Amino acid sequence: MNPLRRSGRIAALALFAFAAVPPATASAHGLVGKADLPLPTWLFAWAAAVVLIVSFAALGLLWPRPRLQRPRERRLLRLGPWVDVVGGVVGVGLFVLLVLSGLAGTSVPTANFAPTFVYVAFWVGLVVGSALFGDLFRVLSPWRALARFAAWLTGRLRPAAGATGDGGSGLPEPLAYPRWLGHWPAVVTIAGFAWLELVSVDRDDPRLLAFLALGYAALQLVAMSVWGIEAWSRRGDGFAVFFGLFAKVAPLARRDGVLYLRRPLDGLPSLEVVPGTVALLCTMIGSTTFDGLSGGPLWTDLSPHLQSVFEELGLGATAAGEASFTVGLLGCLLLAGLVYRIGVLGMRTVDRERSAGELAAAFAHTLVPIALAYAVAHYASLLIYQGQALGYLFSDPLGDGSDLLGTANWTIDYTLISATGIWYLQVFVIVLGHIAALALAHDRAVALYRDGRAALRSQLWMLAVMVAFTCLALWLISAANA
Amino acid sequence: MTLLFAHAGHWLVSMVYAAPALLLAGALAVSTIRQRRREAEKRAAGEPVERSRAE
Repeated sequence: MNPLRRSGRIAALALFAFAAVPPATASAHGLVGKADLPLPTWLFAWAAAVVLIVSFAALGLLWPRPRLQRPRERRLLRLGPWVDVVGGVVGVGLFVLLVLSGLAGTSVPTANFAPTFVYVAFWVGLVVGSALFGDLFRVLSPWRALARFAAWLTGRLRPAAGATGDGGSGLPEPLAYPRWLGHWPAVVTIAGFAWLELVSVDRDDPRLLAFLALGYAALQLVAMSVWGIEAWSRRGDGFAVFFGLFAKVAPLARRDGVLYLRRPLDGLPSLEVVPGTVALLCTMIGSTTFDGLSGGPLWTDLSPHLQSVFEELGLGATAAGEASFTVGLLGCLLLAGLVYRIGVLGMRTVDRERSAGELAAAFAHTLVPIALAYAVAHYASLLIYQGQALGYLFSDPLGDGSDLLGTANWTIDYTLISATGIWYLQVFVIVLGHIAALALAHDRAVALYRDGRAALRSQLWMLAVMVAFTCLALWLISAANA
Repeated sequence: MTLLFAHAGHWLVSMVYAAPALLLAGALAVSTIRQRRREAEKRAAGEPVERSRAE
């Protein structure tokens, strides 16, 4: 091996190893509170930017040919249809518990199973689970399980009824899913859920969550009956698409009843980009951005002014508050889209043969690790601390004093990890996610361009995008830590 | 404008975080403008202009 290349590889490995080792102070604190950091937080953003720039240089030196464009999978074991049956039963059971506790349980959010399950286990826990173990939601989805069961049952009862639909059920053929619709229903779902979580004053109302869950499930069943179970799950079911995107990062994939092992990120280059995919990814990043922003001093300063504008327009205090938060949320969604758009337009200065839309689609998959890093970093403390509440909420889901599993007296252990430990975990996840995005973008560029110099020049703009998203993420979590 | 100046401290602190991204974007913008100028001068002189080749 060329000595220069070998020493470059050693330097790159040392850099990645350095990035992966948390400092000794990470475990030195046992209390939850403000992180005790040896450096100002802005210096972490600068250091992260330097790590990305050095990683970019290392990729240019050590990664001359595409390596990720063709996934390498190894067959692990057969996981037949019983997995769907068991997963479906578990998913439907959890859904029933959610609705039941929402409708019949206490209205105190912290004592009711529904809010913690929706915002912690479902919205955050399943993101981490999908990124580690693959597409769990596909197996657990209660509406997919119910629809498949209904199709199977209809097929058993009406075996000779004309043309077959999904799964040979004897139902009429579903309509073709419109290509123009793409992932837009998922964009609406995820933006709507983000609005509920971040803007609505009734976000923790267990009854509202139960009604919304029922409404969403009914909508999914209708849509699946029109466009087919699998077609709608792949494109239109917002949560299925959302968790499915994170599952492409995972080293495990299940296909045709077989579980495959692959390299992490291997599923992303084959991501099918349809209308709305880029908007969905920007919605995912933008909504987490607003969640961080709304907890910081900048938004605390700005929002009263916005609220007073809406109050002057005739809205009540609550509605004006929600309107100002809606503006903030929309602003963050647009900001995420704008940062990516600037990167794409920058790439166009190097590659004028492709349209901005083609380039945006070609590099859309690089946004997935960024969205994942944002979600994990932002919600790490919520998952670690509030996730423990599920231990006693499962035992007393209605909050009526019952103790079904004998764990109703469990409490949250806030000494599990210190605030400083969480800060270092967040920084590590953010930097790692952006390095992964940089590697994916570099791999796509060397696959697209014959000219290595053009590939590198085009990726300077993606480097700027990654640095911008990294600094934004670190600013947001530092604001929450202030 | 009052709104902007009233919270200038927070805006300025936030700009410290944005500095690496702004510096990089600025450097790229300047480099792109220079590259275009060089290409325009080559075109004016009748020399061939190197373009990025894509597959």
